[in-house]
Amino acid sequence: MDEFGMGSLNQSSVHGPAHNLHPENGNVLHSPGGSSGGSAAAVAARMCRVALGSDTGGSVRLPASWCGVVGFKPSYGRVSRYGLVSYASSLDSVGIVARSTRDIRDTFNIVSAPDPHDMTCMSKSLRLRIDKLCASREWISHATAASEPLKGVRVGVPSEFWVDELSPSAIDAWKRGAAKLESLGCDIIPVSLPHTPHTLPAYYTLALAEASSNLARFDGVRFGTRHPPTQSSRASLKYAQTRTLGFGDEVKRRILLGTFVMSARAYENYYLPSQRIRRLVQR
Amino acid sequence: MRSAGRLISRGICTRCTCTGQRRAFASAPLNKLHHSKLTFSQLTRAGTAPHALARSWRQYTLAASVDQTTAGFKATIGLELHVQLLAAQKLFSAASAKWNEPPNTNVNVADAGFPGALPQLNPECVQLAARAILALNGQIQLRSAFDRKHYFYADQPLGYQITQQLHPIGRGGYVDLGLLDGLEYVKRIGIHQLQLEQDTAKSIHGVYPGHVLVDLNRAGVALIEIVSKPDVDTADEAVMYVRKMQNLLRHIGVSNCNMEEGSLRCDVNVSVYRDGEDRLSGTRCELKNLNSLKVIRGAVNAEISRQIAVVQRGDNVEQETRGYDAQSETTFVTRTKEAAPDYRYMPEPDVPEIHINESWITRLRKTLPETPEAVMSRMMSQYGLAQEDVETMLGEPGCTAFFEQAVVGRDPKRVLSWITSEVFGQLAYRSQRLADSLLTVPQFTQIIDALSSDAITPGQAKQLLIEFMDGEQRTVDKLIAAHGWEVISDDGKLRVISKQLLDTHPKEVARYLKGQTRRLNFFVGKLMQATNGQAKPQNASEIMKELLEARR
Repeated sequence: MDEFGMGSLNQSSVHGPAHNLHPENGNVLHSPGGSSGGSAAAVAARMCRVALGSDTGGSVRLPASWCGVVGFKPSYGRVSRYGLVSYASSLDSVGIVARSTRDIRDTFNIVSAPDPHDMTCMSKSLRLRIDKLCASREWISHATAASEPLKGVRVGVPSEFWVDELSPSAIDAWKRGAAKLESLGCDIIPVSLPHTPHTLPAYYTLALAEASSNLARFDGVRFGTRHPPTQSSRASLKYAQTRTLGFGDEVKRRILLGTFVMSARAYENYYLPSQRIRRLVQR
Repeated sequence: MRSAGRLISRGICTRCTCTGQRRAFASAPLNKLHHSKLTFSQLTRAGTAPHALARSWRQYTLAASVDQTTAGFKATIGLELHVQLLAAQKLFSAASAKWNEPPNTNVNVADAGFPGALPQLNPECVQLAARAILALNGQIQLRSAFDRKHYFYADQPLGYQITQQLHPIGRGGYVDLGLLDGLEYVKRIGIHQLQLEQDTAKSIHGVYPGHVLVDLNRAGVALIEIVSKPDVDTADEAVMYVRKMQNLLRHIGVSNCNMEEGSLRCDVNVSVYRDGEDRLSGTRCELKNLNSLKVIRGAVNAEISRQIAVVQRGDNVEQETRGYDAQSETTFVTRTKEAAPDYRYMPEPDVPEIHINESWITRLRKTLPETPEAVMSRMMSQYGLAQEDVETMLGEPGCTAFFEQAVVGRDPKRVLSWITSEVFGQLAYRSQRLADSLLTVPQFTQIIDALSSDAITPGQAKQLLIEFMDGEQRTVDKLIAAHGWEVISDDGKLRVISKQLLDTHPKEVARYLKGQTRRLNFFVGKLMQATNGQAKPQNASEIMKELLEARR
């Protein structure tokens, strides 16, 4: 995967880039996507049946799509993050890549469990409450009907997602998916998520801020490679050499930006508005 | 105010840190205290009777206060106390929070900041913090949250400290200072907020040149930071506030509040202003690394003097962080305003908000013990004790409870005197706390009862006390038998021994009969000697007198 989960092309790994199994023009190697590109490529290459990845801003779904396998990002809090190297703590989710949704579902049933080690992992009581709420929904009782198993389910399609950058193949896949759902009995309803245009900058601001915080512990003192400082003067400079040589360029870039948006000068202009956008999106 | 001693001359006492006036104190303990350079607790351990010392201490603190209203200036002082909680485990990890263990033994992956480790809130710490808030009359916030405070340093393994900057668990509250605390007037010091936070690791410099040693045992231990409002006006009030806080937090079992051990740390903010102007108009400086009450007093006074001098010169006081040098009695710059770090506060994403409900608070309130003030007034009226006596007992955790159990059906004065002189003396000799001592209330009351019924002498009682505190488990009755201390009350036996004594000392008998009635004491002494001190003194005296008279 991309180092520390930072990247969308799986190019910035210390072990070298991962490659996509499906070359388009014969001898050109394509990116499998990232950051969990290695997981998706391994599953696509049948090296394994299921792979785990981490999805903060699409890092499991994107490579799965590019490699032609299934990628699933559970809702935040479903799967424990204990043991996952934190990138953006409030956004990280452990994701699952497989060649079939059945394998995804079986894996999910195993890894989706309460964990006291992770305070943001949903508790057993919360899970039961959600299950009870869902079971009380009308359309669940219809789910056994053979001809229109999803009758009564309303699926919203956000109009803001229709952006200029969408490729024809992506639009095609989207339309075919909607049609399939309709044939199963769903009502396809256009909806508006007005804050969508602001979400990407807000995501980057928040994710990078949290990343710069989570990566502050990599100083070479208690673990990892330590590079002695070139000029040993102030305490704050003692880690600089270790971190400069130890982190890749993409990681350094994101740490610097993340530190900047949390600095006293920039906090009001970047971090706070991003948090507000996040609240609006959640509503 | 009671006069604390004759004023000899103006000048700086060269033997202690008081400034301004050299004094000779009327009472010996006070003199000893003033010039000994020992702390109050060190002197107590040396065996000076605690309650006498308590009285002297109050006089001393009143006497040593330097009059700060020089040249029409006043001071504004605020304090930040960092208090280590008495929880068994750390704030966000299950590692032990025990003090003074071998380095890097109480560490787990969360404390060391290993990748993939996550914080896990310890509910006991929340409970202890809530107890402190209630005892300080503050408001427990029903919703509170944690933040990350970022800075790179050897003692900060995660690169940030988890603290509660914006949404602390406690707001408001106050501490009242008055006569009972050594203040001749009444003063309320407001509390701004109380927040939970992690302690740092310990970094040790100077052992290997060019290297810093890091001990992670302390990293992540739960602290509460108590931020006062800038209501304090003098160094004395500041010291009294700290002492009061120590007593209170020890009393409710929240912390040991021991400055020598580092379970209480104090930073002070000081500014000065001209009399008549706004209290908050001066620029404030922060004094850090003040590690004893004496240092706090010295540092605050030194800083006030320094700031007054700066303003009088026409200069501006610069906002700085300063330390205190006890030798020269001055403060020095450790960090200027420009070098102050940007902590880049960020909400802690790994720890959800703490939600507390009213019924939990109500249940917690019920578990709080009586406040020291309530204990004081009740015990003074219920047992007829003097204020200093109750104070002395309040100073030793568990002592008032011990006293109240022991005093049932007994003379309060005797019980008190045995606790504060004999028991405390033994504790000081062993450097022990009453809570850790092996002495139980039944053992203590057995000694008192045996003494009251003259079954043992005071000297023997003291020996029994020592034996109990060393681990003796037998009852007093068995011990009296084991030592062979039974009082010989058999008159017949005494008469026989007495007759023998009279026969062997004819010269003394003759002297007595001639009129030297004080020869009786000689014989009583001999009788006591012959019975190894186990004859009842009154009996011995009566019998001897009777026999002597009979020989007329």
